[in-house]
Amino acid sequence: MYPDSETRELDVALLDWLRQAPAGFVRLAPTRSASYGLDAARAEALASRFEELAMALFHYQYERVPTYRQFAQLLGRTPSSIRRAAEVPPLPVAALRRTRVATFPPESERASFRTSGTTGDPGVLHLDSLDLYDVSLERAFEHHVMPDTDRIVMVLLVSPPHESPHSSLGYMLERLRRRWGAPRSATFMRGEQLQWEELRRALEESVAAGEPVCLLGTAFAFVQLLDAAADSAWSVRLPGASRLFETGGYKGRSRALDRKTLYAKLNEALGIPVTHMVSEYGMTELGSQYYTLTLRAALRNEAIPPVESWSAPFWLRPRLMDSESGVCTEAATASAPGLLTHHDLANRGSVAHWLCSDLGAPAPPSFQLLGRAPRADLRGCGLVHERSDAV
Amino acid sequence: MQLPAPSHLPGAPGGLPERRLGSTPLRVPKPSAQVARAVWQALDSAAAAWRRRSSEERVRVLARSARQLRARGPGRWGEALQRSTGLSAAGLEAAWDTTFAPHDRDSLLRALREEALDETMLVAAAERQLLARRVLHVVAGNVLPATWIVLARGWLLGAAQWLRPAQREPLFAACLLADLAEIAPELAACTALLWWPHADAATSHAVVAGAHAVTVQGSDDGVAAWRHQVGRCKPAPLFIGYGSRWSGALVTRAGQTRDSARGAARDVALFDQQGCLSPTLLFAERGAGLEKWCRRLAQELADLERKMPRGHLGARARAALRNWHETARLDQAVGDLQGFWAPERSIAWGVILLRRCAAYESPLDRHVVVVPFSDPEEIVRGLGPHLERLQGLALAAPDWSAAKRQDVLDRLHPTRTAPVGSLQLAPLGWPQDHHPPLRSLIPGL
Repeated sequence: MYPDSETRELDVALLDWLRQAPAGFVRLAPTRSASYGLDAARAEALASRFEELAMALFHYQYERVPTYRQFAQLLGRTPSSIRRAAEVPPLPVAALRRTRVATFPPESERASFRTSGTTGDPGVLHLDSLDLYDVSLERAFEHHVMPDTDRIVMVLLVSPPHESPHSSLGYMLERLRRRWGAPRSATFMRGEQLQWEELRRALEESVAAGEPVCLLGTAFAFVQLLDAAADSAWSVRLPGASRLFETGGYKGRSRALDRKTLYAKLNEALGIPVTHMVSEYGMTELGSQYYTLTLRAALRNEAIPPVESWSAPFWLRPRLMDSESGVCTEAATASAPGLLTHHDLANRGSVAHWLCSDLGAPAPPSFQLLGRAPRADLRGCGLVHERSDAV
Repeated sequence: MQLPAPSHLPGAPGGLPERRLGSTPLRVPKPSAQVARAVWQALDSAAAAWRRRSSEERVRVLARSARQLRARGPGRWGEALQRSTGLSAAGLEAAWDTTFAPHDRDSLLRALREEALDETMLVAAAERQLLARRVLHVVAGNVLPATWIVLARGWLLGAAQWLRPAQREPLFAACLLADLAEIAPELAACTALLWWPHADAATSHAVVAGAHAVTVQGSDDGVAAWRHQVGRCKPAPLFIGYGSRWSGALVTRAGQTRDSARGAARDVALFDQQGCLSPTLLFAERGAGLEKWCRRLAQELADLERKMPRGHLGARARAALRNWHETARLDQAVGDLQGFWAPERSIAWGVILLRRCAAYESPLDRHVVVVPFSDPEEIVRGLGPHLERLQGLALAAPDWSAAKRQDVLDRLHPTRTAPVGSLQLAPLGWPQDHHPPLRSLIPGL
């Protein structure tokens, strides 16, 4: 499987660390270490290990990904010139649409995921191993969505894997179904269309059996569910401990509802308390994801924090890029909104530090999402965009 | 300092219901259909008196007004206009000057001559009601001349005019009319100004119903929405739409000088590159000196940033620019760009040099794309359908014969050409979006 010893050793070290490091915040506290529930010594040891592994990954990826090397050189940031993980240059996610970004030759590829292409042509993430991806996914999901149970009926609102073999979300939810899904877990989408009658029957059966359910899907799919339920004048009260896992994004495919409205309507339709609805923020480019802490807080009878602040596993570090200087700082301690970067040590096969086009604002201990910062702000007369506010 | 309200409604009764304008603490009246009719009538009557003056006299008053406005500068309106336009103090001074500078007596007379509009014809057009005597203008908020130039055209022809400014920048027209009330009250008397929300169909209908012509500047979608709305009026007024356009420059090898770099930088920096005459793509002939010229252009933009800094941008706009800078670096890394020049740790400006002749998006705000070409036909091939929206083209081609220049212009078909450095100084007679600037308001001719 491993073409070389360096890759094997790095993967062993990363896997070992991903299995030990905290998989998410335990509460929202003013500082990161308090949010992870760490004492000072443990926090320092973990931070130090993050630095070591991040630098090792940068050396490795700089050597093996030509585009990344050239990009870093243009910025004057090379393995010999940087000393801290925060200085590792984030590669714009657009790179996946321009070129192959992989630390391994094509013949070693084991999986590939396509990006959605929301802002242009789709890109491709190439992977030679899913080990880090799987560990990261399962540990963080368990921490944020399944801290209190080993099995649950999983109702998947994504196309089955054979329909979307290159969907990272499809892969991810199928993996979760295999790991946590009780019998009767199934997917209820075909070709992006909700199979409403099947879903309705399955949910009613769960109610009859008193079996809690975990619904998993995109905001787009949940809007389809709400529309179908409204058309049928249908609602249900799912058994206690039922929960919902929503990964954002409408991608222009349905009417968009803000999250608060979406959750309120889902609560009306399904009877799942809003406190048991977990949002996930992730992207194909990343091997790790962010989650809200709502369910954990509810299980501990703690108040839900008023300001959204995303919890991340310790190996995923959100940063904000200062728009003027281009310098990245920890998201929680940044002084102003900026483009979000994600330094994810689960990304060994591509690059670990990605720059995305989402705008974030500091919200200690983490960040708040402010939506997309388009490549061009639509203010004036340009070649491919229009005056947006003229009339 | 009392801000001028974005409403100036000669002939309107007092006590009109008011409402806030967006987030700015300005209150604007909400006129009924009856009030809108009364305003149009008052404007009509003032415009009739103004039309009785000879065209020569109207030119004289307009040229004098432009001269006096230019000399005044933004002055007392400076602070408020900086906020509403988003320009820096120096940027606003330059924008104000550029707005009024081109409109001297000769330029106005030339505009009439170019469309063969002599005194006899103008009198006949007015008497035989061939002229759109009541014109509603819905203007864009990105640059100041957009407002001045449409009004000046109407004034020159003697039309009563009603202007709806953009929500984004509602103040310039109000400042302009407040100044004109002092220096040329006859112009202010035949001009109304009112902002209202686009969704307020009742006000739109009340104002449109009294108009003979409606001009609309904006996005293609915005223009189409207005066209639809205006078309529903019976009888429907004449509709003239100014949609989305872009501008460029064409610089030959011999034209790649320090002066042309300076001129191009000025064309780009004026109005912070927000206008449809602001160049975004600079077509530059390939040659040994091209990179050097790009470096000069970058130096000139840096120099302008010191002397006439770009205006303040919000967090989202700054993030979008940073995203563009980082993506440009990526494009450079994958070999799509021949060069990229930007200030250290800043997004104040940017120059990229492409490897091949193709379209490449500029985020504006003083960011230009230099597109190399060897033969003008390469531009036609490389830009394809984008050329249909070409507005202005600045030229620095001293080594091309007049015939060659004309041949290239015929193929690129811009609505305006000017030497590099003066593209933004558009005269009133500029056929914006290929509309005859004056005759389009005389549909009966």
